[in-house]
Amino acid sequence: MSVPHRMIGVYVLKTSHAVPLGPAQMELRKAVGLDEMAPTAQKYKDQLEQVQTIFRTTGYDAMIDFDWDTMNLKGMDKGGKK
Amino acid sequence: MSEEEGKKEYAYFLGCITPNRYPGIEAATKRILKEFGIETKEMIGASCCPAPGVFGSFDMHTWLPVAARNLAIAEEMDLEIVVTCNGCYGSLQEADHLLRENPKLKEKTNEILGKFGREFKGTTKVNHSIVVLHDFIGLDRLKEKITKPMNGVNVAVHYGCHFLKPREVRGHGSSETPYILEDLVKVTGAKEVDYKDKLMCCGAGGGNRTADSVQSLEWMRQKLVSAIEEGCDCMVHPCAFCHLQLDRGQEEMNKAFGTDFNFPILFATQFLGLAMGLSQTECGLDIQTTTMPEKLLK
Repeated sequence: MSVPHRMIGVYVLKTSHAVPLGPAQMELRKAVGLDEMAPTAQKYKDQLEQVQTIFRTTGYDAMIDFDWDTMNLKGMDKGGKK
Repeated sequence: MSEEEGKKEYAYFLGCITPNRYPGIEAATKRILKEFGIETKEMIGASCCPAPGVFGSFDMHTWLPVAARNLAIAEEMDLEIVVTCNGCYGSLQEADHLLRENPKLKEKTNEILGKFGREFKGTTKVNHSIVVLHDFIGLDRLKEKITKPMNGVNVAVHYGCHFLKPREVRGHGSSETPYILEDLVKVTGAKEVDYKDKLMCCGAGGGNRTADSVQSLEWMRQKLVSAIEEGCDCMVHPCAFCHLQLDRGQEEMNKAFGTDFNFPILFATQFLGLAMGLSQTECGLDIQTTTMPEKLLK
């Protein structure tokens, strides 16, 4: 798998979403009359942990070389692409 | 009112791009469905569907339990699902199909879901929002709510891949001669214009946008040019992921290729919303990349 594809896995492991919510998008949500954060697993730690449990169980985390300490791909914290 | 017409609640599976990049799609969809007495209920704790290209293609045995967990949330709500993204439609409907058809996969998947007290039972149904509009609400009821007809507007419809295929699982008839979006456009008074690359992918799918953005944008440019050459004023589609590619992708394409594209992109409920009298702010069309011409806002 390429680094960009593995990074999508990182986003899901960190937030439950391949395309996570950030502060700028919260403003967009409020602009159309919605709550600033949808009640998805990104909002609830226990729900996010369920998604992470799946990834640990199937070995997806190892498949993409995910580092649970840095919550990133291994080596990415040192600025390099593995 | 028939039993079918009496069902007024759906579990709204948001996915990623609808709530986190294009909340206008979420807002317009909720407003339109509510106009017809349909409530959309939040799926607390839902996650990425997960994306068919970057998960389903690489590791089915992770893709499946993540999708099954989302299906289980709707089952716990005792509701059918409605979606606004073809990727979500594809992943959830295909996962539901696989798990119903394959007891061993279901057992293995439920072993994983059981670690946190969830179970896939196979009791929900995955619906696309444009099918709810077309088949459940129906064109006659939709027509009654059109207060700002789109007369004189030429529309290119774009389906995206996962709405139409695999045909046997989707159940929308021929993937070569679709009709649902065409009907939804025409009910507003707009003209649906045929164009050469109508059934072409937006260029993003299958992990392509992530893997090779330039090729992905070139693919999209061909599609947009094909629609523009036929005199289309805008493109109407049923997919949040295609929306990201077709809308934000135009800005990326202009930077990459030195072009000057600004071809209006609307999700189906945003287009219907305008025709039903919602403002572009209520549909989130003023917070996206492509701008809406007066012709659509009159």
